[in-house]
Amino acid sequence: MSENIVTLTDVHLKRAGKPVLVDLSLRIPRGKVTAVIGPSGVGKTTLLELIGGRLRPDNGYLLVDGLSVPDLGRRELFELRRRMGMLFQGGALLSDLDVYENIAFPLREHTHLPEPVLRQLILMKLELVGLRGARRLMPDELSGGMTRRVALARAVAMDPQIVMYDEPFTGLDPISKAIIVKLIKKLNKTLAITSIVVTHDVVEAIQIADFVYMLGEGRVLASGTANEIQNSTRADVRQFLQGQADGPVPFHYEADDYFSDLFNAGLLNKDEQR
Amino acid sequence: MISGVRRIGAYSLSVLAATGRACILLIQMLGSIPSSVRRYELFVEQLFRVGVLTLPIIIVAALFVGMVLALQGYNTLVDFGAESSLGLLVALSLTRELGPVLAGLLFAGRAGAALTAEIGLMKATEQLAGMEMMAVDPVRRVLLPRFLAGMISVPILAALFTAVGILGGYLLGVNVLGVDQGVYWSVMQEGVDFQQDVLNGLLKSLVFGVLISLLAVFMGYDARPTPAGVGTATTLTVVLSSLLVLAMDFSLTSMMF
Ligand SMILES: Nc1ncnc2c1ncn2[C@@H]1O[C@H](COP(=O)(O)OP(=O)(O)OP(=O)(O)O)[C@@H](O)[C@H]1O
Ligand SMILES: [Mg+2]
Repeated sequence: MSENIVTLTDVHLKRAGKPVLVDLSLRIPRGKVTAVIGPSGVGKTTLLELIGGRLRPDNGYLLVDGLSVPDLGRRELFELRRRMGMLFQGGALLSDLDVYENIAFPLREHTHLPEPVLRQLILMKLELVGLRGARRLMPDELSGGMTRRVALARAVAMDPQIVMYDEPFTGLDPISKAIIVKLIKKLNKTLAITSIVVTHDVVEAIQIADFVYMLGEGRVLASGTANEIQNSTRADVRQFLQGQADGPVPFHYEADDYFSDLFNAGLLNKDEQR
Repeated sequence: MISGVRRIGAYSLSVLAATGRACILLIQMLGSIPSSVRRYELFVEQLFRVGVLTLPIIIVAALFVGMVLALQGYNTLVDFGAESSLGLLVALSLTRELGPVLAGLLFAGRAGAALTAEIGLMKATEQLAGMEMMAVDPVRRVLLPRFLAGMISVPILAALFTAVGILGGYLLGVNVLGVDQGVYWSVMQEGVDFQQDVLNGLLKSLVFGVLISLLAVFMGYDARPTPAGVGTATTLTVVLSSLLVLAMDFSLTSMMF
């Protein structure tokens, strides 16, 4: 077993014609919590979609647990995904099933466990996230924080080796944030799960991560242990950590010259003609 | 001028591409049937939601259509002194045309639209993506049972439509208009051919069932994952499947009869 469970080497990816990831190389150590931080729109979710095999890189190598994800067939990819859990930004719970059945879903799909065993497994996962009492609620009856916790319980239902968390903290109050931080740590310790936490909440990321990657302009801007990142003297890293609006990391999405754009209303440019 | 031509070209291409994607989806669904036999309960559940829940509207509509047929048919036939053939007229109209076509149209509006909206919304809320990441194929788990249930439901609903319609014609023709009850049934028995009329009608409705169900699940699966996208897809399902049913009906009729 190699030390790194996920390895990206010189990964290139364009989305809608715009390069999102440029020569991205990073390694995710096995059994650790790795945080990937960076401003909105740098391609953090995109990175997770690559690792999960939902997108293919245009170029470069991507290994997960020794398998080259872009070269996997559908069946092998699904085989690999059984060993992965993913927490979506919006939870992605099945809205017609209650909390209990949502967590049962992957187990029912992939195993033939008898109902009593299934029930025990589900209750254990629910207890882990503190929602054993909420098992009969429907997803639309849950608060944002509870949704996140149910999604978390579902993501680990199959006891995966890797769990990817996409923005697990956004939109939560400080208490719920603290709960999620605690849960991610607990899952990592008790189940020895490799955790990839993608977030722009620097404080939380630094609290839980063993190792931090900071992305910018489609590549790794900085990396290191949580401490090293925190004490970095680089201007772009400092800008992000301290939350300054403009700096080396530009505030604006790439655009044509502002002045000519404003006064060119007569000559609609090509993309607005459509 | 040029841009108009270009737009037509682009539109035609997009329609062609969508047709291609729909065919690929169909192949994917058919290919995943063997591995889904074990999960027949998913199919049964959809059969209930798609088929059984469409029953009331089918029965009520069929009753009225049968009565209208009897009324109009009687008024015309009576001029020629042929009102005794009423049963045959009602039965032939329903088995050959009205049963399959109207059941198809009603099904598209009631169940097809619901299927598209449901699947589109699941896509928009990342539920399908979530399934994929749990190594569950949404085509197999979500689309296939709905498609099969729709495909099976339409012929059954069409047959029921026909039967109830004939009964409606009977109620009005015999009880109100005074056609002889024995004659109503016997002309039917004489004049309706099992293979020519009943089987062809069923075949039609099977074709409609495949078309509507494929369109409904495809439109949902292919929808833009936004509220407007799902709305458009739902409308398109109803409009396109209605048009397709009518157009297919014409081609099938010209081949069969
Ligand atoms: N479905 C898509 N089609 C085309 N481009 C996309 C799509 N999704 C994202 N992008 C583009 O890819 C880039 C990265 O998006 P991504 O969602 O990975 O950002 P992110 O880092 O997760 O941002 P956030 O922190 O806001 O979630 C953005 O510039 C975005 O415009
Ligand atoms: Mg994101």
